Amino acid sequence: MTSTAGATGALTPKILAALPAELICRMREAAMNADPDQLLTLTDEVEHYDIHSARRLRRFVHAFDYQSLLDVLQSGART
Amino acid sequence: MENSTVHQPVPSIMVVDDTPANLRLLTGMLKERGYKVRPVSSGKFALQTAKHDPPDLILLDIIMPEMNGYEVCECLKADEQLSGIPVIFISALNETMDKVKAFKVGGVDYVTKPFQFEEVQARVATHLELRRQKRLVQESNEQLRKLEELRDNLVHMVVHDMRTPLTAIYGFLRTLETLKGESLSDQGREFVQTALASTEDLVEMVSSLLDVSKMEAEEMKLNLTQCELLTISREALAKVEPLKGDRELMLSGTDEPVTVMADAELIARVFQNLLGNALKFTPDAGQVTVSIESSADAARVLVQDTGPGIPPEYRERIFEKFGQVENPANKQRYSTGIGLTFCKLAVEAHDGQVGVNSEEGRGSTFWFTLPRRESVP
Repeated sequence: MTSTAGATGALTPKILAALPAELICRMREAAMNADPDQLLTLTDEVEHYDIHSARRLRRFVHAFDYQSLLDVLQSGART
Repeated sequence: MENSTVHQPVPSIMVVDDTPANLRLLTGMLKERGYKVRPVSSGKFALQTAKHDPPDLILLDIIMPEMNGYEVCECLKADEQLSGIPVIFISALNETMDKVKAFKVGGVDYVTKPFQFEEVQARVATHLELRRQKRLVQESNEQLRKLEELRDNLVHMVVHDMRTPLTAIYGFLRTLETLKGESLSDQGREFVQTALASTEDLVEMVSSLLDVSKMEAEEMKLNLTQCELLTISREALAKVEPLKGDRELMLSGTDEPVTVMADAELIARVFQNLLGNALKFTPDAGQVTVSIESSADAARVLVQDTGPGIPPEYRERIFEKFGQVENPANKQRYSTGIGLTFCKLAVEAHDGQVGVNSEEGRGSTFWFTLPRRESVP
């Protein structure tokens, strides 16, 4: 299994907090459904707000590491 | 062939493998075949996402960190909501014992790696179709169950409402009979007696139907007392005497009293039902014989007839509600099909058993047992 835990460092809760709550909500739902196609579509939307965050989120998707993705989104939602 | 197109939802397949390259390969191939694919890289998350939205089928690797495929499958099968999802194991393990274990934990199939995609596709398609058929059968069963419930409620309602006017008819006919029909002609009196006998049959049908409903709902309270079965059988024989025509009605076996703890009224009606049934199916000049056997543990009552017998395939069905057997001699169906159900439920309410032995062309013997016990259970 490919570890992507190292990529989370750059995804700060502050950056994620800048994303619309509705977008985060859709990403969480897509992650819960293990739907990589939908997640990639949504990370394209993230790119409009922050290109680096989008790139890092895509790494989770390519590794099918939905749990790490959910953890990151959760930390952003708490901010 | 019908020309209409029925829209079927795209089947959703979850692929669980800790190697992203394997996930990409299988996901790509399955998507090309039109499936919705959900690739997952850990057993733990597979359970989480399956609970969130159950897939139609799971392709499951075995060797994975944290939680292996066998453990994942066991958890799926232990979850009522997920247990019906077919799991196909896909693994590099190729020993027979690995495959046996996969089936033991609930897998429906096993594919060894390296795999040919055509094989995976064929197995996936087969198990999806099996699941679809299983769901259809379950849906049909559920619909049948609902229809049966509707029928029972309707019958109960109609029969319940029939009871009051029927009691009035019965009462007035009885009054006419006890007045000896003084103002009636001989033919008029005969009519009254025939009407009375038919009304009695109807009252019995109504009572049986209502009692069956009560016994099915376990709402029937038994009035248990010490009952003597020979006496009850003699009374029942006397009651069906007018129906016997040219047939012979006999009581054989022990003359010793056989006492059991039972609801005398219910057991008397069981006797009457079995005797009435035997007479209906026994041709003229045939015989209907009641015998009672007694042992330390139970009393056994047998009602033997010389009718046409019952084909083996009907021997259980006749005890089901509305399960009737056609008389092969005249292609007639007798009664409401509730009498034997009543007998079965009434005997079982006493912790007894009921059954039939039959030989086609020679006759049938309906029997029931009642446990011998000293006091109310």
